[in-house]
Amino acid sequence: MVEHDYPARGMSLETLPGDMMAQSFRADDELVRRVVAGETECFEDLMLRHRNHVRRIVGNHVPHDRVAEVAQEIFVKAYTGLGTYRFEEPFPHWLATIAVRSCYDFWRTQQAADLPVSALTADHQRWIDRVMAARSDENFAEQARRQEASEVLQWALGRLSPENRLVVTLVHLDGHSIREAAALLGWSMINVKVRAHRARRALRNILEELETR
Amino acid sequence: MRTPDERLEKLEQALIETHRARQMPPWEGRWDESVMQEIRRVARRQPPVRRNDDVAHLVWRTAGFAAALAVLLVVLLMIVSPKFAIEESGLVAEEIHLSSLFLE
Repeated sequence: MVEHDYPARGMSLETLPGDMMAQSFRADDELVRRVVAGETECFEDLMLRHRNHVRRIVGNHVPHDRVAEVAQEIFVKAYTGLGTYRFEEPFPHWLATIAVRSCYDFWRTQQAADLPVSALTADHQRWIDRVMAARSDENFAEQARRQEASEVLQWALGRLSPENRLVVTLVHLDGHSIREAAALLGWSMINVKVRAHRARRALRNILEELETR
Repeated sequence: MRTPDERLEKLEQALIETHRARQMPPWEGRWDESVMQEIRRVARRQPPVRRNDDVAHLVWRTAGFAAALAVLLVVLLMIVSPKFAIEESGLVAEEIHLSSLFLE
């Protein structure tokens, strides 16, 4: 069984050998047909083939302790929606759209948290100072891997609206193109472009507040 | 000395690096089983059904084509016989006039 393990950035299925991909997509389509025909157990193969793909998408958007729960919801949605899969696009792309929209739903249902700048500690402020002082790439990369870095990022993203958070994550953090983000979200490219611009400005305003406190 | 924009750029870049360096948590041992249990439960009451969208598309296309044809015919009729519109409006005016007589 081929378990997909796509690169995190971009929908770079094209970077993998074409023959293998085509063969894999055909195998997915065959499994989908069998599940829709009533062979429910074939869904397990589909799930095992794509669970890493789904986990990577979900892990980029929701807190780690909620990844398993959201990923399960995505596979249940995929199962109930299999009748609408039209075999015109590769199954992993179709699954990715369900995953991204489920992450959006996740943040829409979360109560907006009150996250004042004072919620950050002296450790976070020290991290910011160290990032600003980092002179070499190595030192910079080391700072980016620290726990405080992750906490500052989550704090900043937590202050964005669900729409802005999603677009910032897809376009600026994951590195998807506007076209890819639009396809994943089911929004127009113009909408994504405008939203991405506004969302980045909103994030910069938040970071500015953090940096000048 | 960096400008405020450069400082923001640096902070933003560090956060992008942070995001890309995230480690995914390992799968919990029984996650797959839990998903399949849920799928089986859903399958008992709501199996996926292939929707026959082709028929619906055909019906809507036919209806759209028929409506467009009807509009085209009316326009053509008005162009070919300009009197048609005038006569029609004359008849309607006559009807209104007659009905007012009945009301009296």
